Amino acid sequence: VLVANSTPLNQFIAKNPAYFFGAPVERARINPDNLQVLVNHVKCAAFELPFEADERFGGEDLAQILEFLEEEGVLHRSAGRWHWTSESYPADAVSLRSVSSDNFVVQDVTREPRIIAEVDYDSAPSMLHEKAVYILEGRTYFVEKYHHQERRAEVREAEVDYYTDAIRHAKVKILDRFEEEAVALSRRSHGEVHVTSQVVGFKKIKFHTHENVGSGELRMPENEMHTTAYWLTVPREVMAALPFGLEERRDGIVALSYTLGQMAALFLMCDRHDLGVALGDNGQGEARVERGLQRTPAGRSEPAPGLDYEPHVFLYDNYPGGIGLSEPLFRLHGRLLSESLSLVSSCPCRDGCPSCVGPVGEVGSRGKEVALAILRAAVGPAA
Amino acid sequence: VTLQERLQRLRREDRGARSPGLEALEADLVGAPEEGLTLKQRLQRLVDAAARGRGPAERQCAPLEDLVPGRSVRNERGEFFLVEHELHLETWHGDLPLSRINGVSAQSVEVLSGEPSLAAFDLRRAAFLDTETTGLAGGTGTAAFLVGVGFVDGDRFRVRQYFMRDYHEEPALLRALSEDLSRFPYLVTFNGKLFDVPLLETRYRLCRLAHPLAEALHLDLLHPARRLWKARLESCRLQSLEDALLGLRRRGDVPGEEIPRIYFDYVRSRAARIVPRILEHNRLDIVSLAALSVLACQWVEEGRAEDPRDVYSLARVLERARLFERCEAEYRRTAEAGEGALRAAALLRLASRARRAGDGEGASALFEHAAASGEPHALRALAVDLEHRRKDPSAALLAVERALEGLPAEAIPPRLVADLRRRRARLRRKLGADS
Repeated sequence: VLVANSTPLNQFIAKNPAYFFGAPVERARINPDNLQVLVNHVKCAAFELPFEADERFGGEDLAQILEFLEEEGVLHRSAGRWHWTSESYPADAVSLRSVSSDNFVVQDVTREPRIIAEVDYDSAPSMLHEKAVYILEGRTYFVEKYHHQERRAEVREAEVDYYTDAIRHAKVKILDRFEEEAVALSRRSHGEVHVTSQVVGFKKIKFHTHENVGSGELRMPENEMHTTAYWLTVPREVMAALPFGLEERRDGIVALSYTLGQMAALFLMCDRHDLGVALGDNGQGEARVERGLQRTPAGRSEPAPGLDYEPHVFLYDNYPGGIGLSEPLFRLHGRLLSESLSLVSSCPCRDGCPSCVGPVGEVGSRGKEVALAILRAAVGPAA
Repeated sequence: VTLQERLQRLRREDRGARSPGLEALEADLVGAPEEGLTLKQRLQRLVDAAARGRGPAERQCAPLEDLVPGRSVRNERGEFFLVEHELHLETWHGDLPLSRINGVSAQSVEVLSGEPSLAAFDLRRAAFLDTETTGLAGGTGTAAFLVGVGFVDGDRFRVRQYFMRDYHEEPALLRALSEDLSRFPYLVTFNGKLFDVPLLETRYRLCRLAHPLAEALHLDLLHPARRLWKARLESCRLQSLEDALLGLRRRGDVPGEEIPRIYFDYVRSRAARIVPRILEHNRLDIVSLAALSVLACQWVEEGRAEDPRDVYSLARVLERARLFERCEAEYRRTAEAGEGALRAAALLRLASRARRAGDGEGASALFEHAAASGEPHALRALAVDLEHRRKDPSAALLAVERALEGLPAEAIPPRLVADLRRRRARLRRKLGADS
């Protein structure tokens, strides 16, 4: 028996059981040409057997990577072969669970301090910030201290009936467009982006009901990464033609991004946190708007967008270098939008709820309406 | 965006995310700062270090050939660098004249190692081998860039050092080494069974050459050294043994853990300034290996041990080699000179020898004697003897109770405590059922 909770993912499956029962088993996704993954592979390979001058490995120019590693001092070229010249065993530094090998330890200080878990570097600010609820093996812990330099967080066991969801400010800059194409009245793209993100606050969310029961402000260290992203652009003319106010238009985009983030995770069969969601508000490539979606996160109200508002919704691979989620999303664009449209339009709520575009408190009173209008325009008359 | 730019970015991100910046630079260049230095002072240390590094260019970049009296050797696999060195056998290495190698008896190595295959092992026909490697991790990515071989040649002790000036010289080096090693029926190393020999085997395989050490009669001195000296000496590293047993102190020696880094620096910069010190380090290791091999043989031949811990260790080595008369004499010597647990252990070994020889009465007396110390191991052994040989469970129970009550439970190894408790319960049951 599956009892669906109120997230869009659960609601979608409850309404479309055929999707669930007809779906193939989960696909493991990794992009072997992710530069971090590839460079680490090359290091491990060089340790096992020196590279010859004309060898091939991976989808990038191997010679350049070998030269780079020589500059880094871990390889050395002698008579046309590349030898490993470091004392370390490179595979020791490769984690099978995350892209970067740097990590944080979680220290339980309820009694004698002991390490109970490790968290990868990129997830640490959102999972281990102070006042976060850290969940391990069904037990809830309250994070007391976050030590960035020491890569350590102190937690204490605590009985709580909520979990926390970090609010992240993400600034996305488009570096390279791999493909771009107009579809109906919208545009789909994928490419390489630079993401600066910072955890600026958190929400407290009640278990089971997913009600928002409070929030807090934070100022965590900024994190920068290059990764790949898929993005949807709603052209200026489409936005301008919407019969809504300027603030409402942006609410509609926030609402839309909530749905798209959830649905994309479903189609890719990945964790919702494998994808970052961010909004852009002009065609210049630079974007800022938060994921986390408090309508006006304490003290951070955004100015209303201008008349030339041309929003992007970015769904980026939440791992340095990208793990290959973006191109499949680009291909899934049509299905992603039409299924999102069917989810939102069939949802019985009036103004938005956690099951479709997010609660009213986060997307404004007309967020759902605007999101629907945008989706209809983006999907086009064919649907 | 080109691959080049993406790689550069990767580097920046790496640094940004992981290195704490100044601290890493300091640790790398000048060592961790002392407490209480201001930021300015810390930066000054880095500036000073950079200034020192810019010494006279010619000294920095001197090629190896100008610094070391060696020569290039060419064979069908290429070229490598060979350094040869010799000592007269009358030379003393620390407290030991190397000429003592001529007095070592042919059976000693078999006794030392406890391996019958090493019977008639002749140190004068052995190659003493030690490698310097690009890391301690092992695995195919670790290479031996320097292999030193020491051997007796008439009235000389010679050391030949095979050195690769760059990675492409490895096949020539291995080729020549294998020819050289084929002249020796015996091999001596220090931890070579686990480290040097498997590492060389991999290198030979990667260079598509036959491994010359596969069949060697091999004495790995580390294990006998541990058996002989571990009870007294804290460390059985080659240099600790050299210091404690040969009275040899090295001056200005390169710390072993820095050797890979020095070699990598040399390979990249061609500045060979510190390489001669690695050669010297390796040469000293080899001479010490030979001297310690001789010393270890002398210990088993002459019963040199004096400290009761050493006497006991020697007795164990002799017992392992089935030299029972000699081992019993050494156990008796331990029991006379030693005290506490050591004395009890020696008496227990004697008791066990007596029992095996069929002397039950003698064994029982020795068990009583050992147990008088109150040592829990001895009391347990006494209890076994009382229960099974002398069929006296109530006396056995008394011994077990004494062991458990004499010391707080934390002072006894947990497995022994468990054994004693089981034994006590069983004896109590047995006595209860009898009465």
